Amino acid sequence: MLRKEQNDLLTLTGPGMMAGNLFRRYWIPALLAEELPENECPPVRVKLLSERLLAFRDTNGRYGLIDEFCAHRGVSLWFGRNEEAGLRCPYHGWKYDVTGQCIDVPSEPEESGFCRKIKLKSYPLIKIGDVLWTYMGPPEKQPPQPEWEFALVPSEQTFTSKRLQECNWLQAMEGGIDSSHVSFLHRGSLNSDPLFKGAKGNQYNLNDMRPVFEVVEQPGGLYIGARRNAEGGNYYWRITPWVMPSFTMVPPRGDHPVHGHFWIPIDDENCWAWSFDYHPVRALTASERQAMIDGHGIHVRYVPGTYRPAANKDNDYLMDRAAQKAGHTYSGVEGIAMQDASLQESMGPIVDRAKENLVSTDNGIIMARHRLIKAARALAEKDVTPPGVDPEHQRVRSAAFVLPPDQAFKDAAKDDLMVRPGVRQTSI
Amino acid sequence: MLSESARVTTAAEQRYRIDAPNALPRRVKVVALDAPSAQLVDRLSKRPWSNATFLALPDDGTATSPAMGSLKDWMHSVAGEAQDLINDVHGTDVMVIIAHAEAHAHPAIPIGEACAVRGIPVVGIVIQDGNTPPALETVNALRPFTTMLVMASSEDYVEAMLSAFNA
Repeated sequence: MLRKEQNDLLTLTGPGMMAGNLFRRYWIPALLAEELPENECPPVRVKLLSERLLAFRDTNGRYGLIDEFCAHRGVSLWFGRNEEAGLRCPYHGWKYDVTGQCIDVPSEPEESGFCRKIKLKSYPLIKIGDVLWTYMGPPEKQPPQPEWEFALVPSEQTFTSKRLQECNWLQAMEGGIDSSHVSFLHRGSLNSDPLFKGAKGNQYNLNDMRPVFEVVEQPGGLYIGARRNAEGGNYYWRITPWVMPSFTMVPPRGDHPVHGHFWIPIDDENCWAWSFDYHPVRALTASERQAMIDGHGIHVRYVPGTYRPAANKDNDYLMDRAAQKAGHTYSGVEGIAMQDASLQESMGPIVDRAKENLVSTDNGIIMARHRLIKAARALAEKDVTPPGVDPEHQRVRSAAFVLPPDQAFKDAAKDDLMVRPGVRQTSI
Repeated sequence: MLSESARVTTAAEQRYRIDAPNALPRRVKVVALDAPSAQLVDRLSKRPWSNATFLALPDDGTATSPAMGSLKDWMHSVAGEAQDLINDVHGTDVMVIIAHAEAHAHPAIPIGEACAVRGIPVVGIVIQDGNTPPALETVNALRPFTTMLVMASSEDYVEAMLSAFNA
């Protein structure tokens, strides 16, 4: 359980809040590149860390992420005209470049220099892989660009999606750390989902419903190891890396693409669940990519024209009690992503952690909260750069393997848990 | 009209969550296997807890408080009164065993085995103190009977975990 003040520290991410300041020290996913597909395309509203922003791509291909509202009288620049290297407010023609600098106020003489006094808040927006990343922290503290493997492999090897999740970021992210729920909530999907099924490792999952866990600190966050019994007295390990503040990777199955998530606060009651699938050494097959587009694996089908999942709270997540009773799904909700999201949203917009009864297998979550609190306080009190900012911390992988019982995974599988370009993932 | 799921997940609806205890207090036994862990456990034992008891193995004069007992005495009393360890761990909801990186963890084995008989979860915490990796012997001694093994880089994790358990 967490006391209220601890829960507030971790869940409130708006301007000036400690967790918000923590997130601002990282490059975070802001949009899919597909949302700004061409120069002078329509601008897109973006809300991140409780700030209303507008993203656009100008005449010359430069990306901008600026205050949504015109400095004149507060009109939303979503209505803006994207033309001639800037965004022009349609109300009175005030124009801004990608840095938020006002470059034209038609009603004022040019010689007055009035427009030079006007500058909207703006953040850098860069394209790496299929994602547009932003950094919302102090400019002088801007870190090196992110080096997550899924974003750096060739485009044919990777697929990224995002979906709206209508709850606080932390209760969503904790689902990624807690692998003990897989044996229950996702039980039906191991043998049916095209992006999961067929791996030998699945049998270890299904034959041993009571995994045992080890949590090991690593420089960027944690490794959470789940072990199950394998042949000959050995252990089948599945290792989940967590890198601060909100990156996790699911341990691989067979030669399926490897996947993982970021959870990025929109505001205190909503977040973006970013989901990626990639293969380190080969292109995704056409059927794999189509399965992801069709909402299999960790991806979803959408309400048309949005990034909101088609199964959502407004339709009771398309609950199917017959499927639940028949054992096709454990909770009655279809699809791995919405199986998680439906339960996490049911906790309420921000779950009250004072009512929890955690158990020994929740130590991954306990340790993650502990490290986040420490990092947020160290940043606030001593301006200590938090773990996970350093690109070195981002070169991690998940892994699945069998080890003899007397070997510690962190040492025996040290190389398997790091990015090795050109080397496939360690998987069973 | 809002679906039921949409209506009940609003912030306004959270007011109606039942505001009453939903669990009995957790009985946590915390056992220190070496001198540095005993010092840590001694400090923790002086703080107010709901239902945690603290025990330490070393009898080398390491400071103990009235609130903390000796593991050796406990195990002696269990044997001396012809009780067996299995019965004595009964009534514990979670056993927490703490060792530092180079500790000899073998004294924990009978405790772990007794907990296994009673189905009591055991959390093992190995404290690394900076960059000292835990000795393989320490980890391997704890691993067979722990449901959760944690390699923590600093001692403050133990208090955080006990608070999380509402111990």
